[in-house]
Amino acid sequence: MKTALILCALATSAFAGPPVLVRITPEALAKLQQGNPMAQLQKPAPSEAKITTPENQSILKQSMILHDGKNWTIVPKGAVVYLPDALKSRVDVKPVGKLLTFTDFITLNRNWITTNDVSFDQAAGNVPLSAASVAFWSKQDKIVIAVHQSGPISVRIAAEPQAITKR
Amino acid sequence: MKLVSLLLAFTSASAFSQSSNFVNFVRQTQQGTGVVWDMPVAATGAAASALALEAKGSLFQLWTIQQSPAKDYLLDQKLVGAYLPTSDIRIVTLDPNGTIPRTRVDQPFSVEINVDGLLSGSGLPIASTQVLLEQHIASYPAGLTSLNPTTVLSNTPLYSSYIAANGKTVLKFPASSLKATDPTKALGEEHFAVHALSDGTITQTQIATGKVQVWPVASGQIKGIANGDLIRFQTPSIELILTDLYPRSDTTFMLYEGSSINGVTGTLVKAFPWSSDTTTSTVIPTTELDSKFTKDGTYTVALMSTTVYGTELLCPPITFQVKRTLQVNAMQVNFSDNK
Repeated sequence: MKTALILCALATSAFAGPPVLVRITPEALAKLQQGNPMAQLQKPAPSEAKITTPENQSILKQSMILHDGKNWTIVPKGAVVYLPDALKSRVDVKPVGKLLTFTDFITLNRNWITTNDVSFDQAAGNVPLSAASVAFWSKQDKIVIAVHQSGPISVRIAAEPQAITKR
Repeated sequence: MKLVSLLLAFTSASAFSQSSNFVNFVRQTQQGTGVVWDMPVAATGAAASALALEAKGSLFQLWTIQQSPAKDYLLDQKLVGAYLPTSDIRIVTLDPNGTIPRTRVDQPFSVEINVDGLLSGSGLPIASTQVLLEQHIASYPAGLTSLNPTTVLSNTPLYSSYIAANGKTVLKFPASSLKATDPTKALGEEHFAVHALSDGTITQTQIATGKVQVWPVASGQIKGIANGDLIRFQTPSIELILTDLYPRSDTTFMLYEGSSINGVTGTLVKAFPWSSDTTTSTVIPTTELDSKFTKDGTYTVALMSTTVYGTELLCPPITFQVKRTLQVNAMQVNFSDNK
C-alpha cells in the first residue's frame, strides 16, 4: 500500500519535473553557427590546400570476379596468374548469386581453383616467380590465384634476367 | 624496407555491414608499387597487415558489398606509411545512442583530433611538419539518410586548416554548420578529415576521417483549437501534426489547468514514443482531451518532446476556456386565465 502511494506520487509529479524549454528559433541557431571554431583557425593558401581523394572508386571495378555458377567472389586485378582456356567463362562474369569471401569460395571450389603463395617482392615484380611453379600451373588445368598470407594479391610479372651471350 | 606491424580495426562502421546481405572486404593498396592485397577478415575484429608499409604509404580501404544486386560501398579508408604522420578523429556528441555519432543541428559537439609523427625543426619538408584538417558538410537528398563518404570528402571543404603539433586538438562546435533555408530543419552529415600533405609521391593523402549524423529540430502544430477559444459542450476534434521527431524521443500532448505550463503538474492526453535510427513525421488525431477536463476554467494544452537534450515545446502552447455549467436564468411565467 505504502509502495503504491509512493509510485502514484512519483507518476503524478513526473509531468511537473524538468522545465519545458522553448524551441530554438532559426535566428538563434544561425547566430550559434557563427561560432564554428574552424572559422577561427588559419586557412591554408588555395595552392597549398590541394588534396587527393579519388572519387567514383569501386572495388568491383578494380577486381576480377570468380563465379562457380551459384557463388561469386572477388580478387584484385592481377591476382589471377594462370587462366586455362576451358575456365575463362568463370572469370570476369556478371556478379550474380551468393557473394562469398575469398577463403570460403576457394574452399568450395578447390577442384578448379588453386593458389600460389608469393612473397611481397614477387608481387611487386622485384623478384621473379619460381620457374618451377610457373611451369607446374599449366599441368593442373586449374585457375591459379596468387596469394599472400591467404589473401589474394596482385602480381607484377618481373622481367626475366637477360641471358648473356657471346658475340 | 621497414616492416611495420599494423593493427587494422575494421568494426562495423555502418548499418550496411551488419546485414547478412553484405560481405566486408579490407583491401590494401601499396602506393609505391601498386600491389593490391585483400586481407582475409571476419565480420568484426582486428588483424595485422602482412605487407610492409612503404615510405609512400599503404592505403587501407574497408568495403562492404551488397549481394543482390551487386553494389559496393566504401565505408572507410586510411593512408598509413612508415614515414607518414598518423592521426585519429573522435567525434563526441551529447547523444550516446546510434551506431554512428549523431547529434541535433542546434546542439554542441566536439571533435578530438590526435596527431602523431609530425617532426619539428628547421629545414624539414612541410609534409613532415604539419597536416591538413578539413570540415565537410553535406545535406541528405530527399529520402536518403546516408551518404557516400568519398563523395562528401571530394567536394570543396567548408573550412580547412593546418595542425602543426603532435597531440590532441579539441574543437568545440556550439552547433552543426549544416545549412538550410530554415537552419533548424537542416539534416545531413558533417565529415572531418586529416590529410598528410602531398610531397609529390603519394596518390592518396587521407590519414583519418570521422563523421557525425545531424538531425533537425522537431516541430509541431495543434490543429482544431486556438488561443482564446471557449469550449462549451463539445470539444473540437484535434489533430497533432508532428514533424521531424528525433530518433529517440518521447512526444506528449499535455493539458494544464491555468495558463502556465512550467512548475505545474500536467495531465497526459496523448503520447508518441519514437525509437529508431532516423527522425519521423506523423499526424495523430486525438479525442482524449474531452475526458480530461475536471471543472470549468482556464486550461492550456502543449505539445512537447523529450529527448536527450531535454523537454522542448514543438509549438507555442494554446490557452482556452472551458465553461460547461448550465446557468438557468429565472423566468417569469404568468398563469393568467384567459378564458
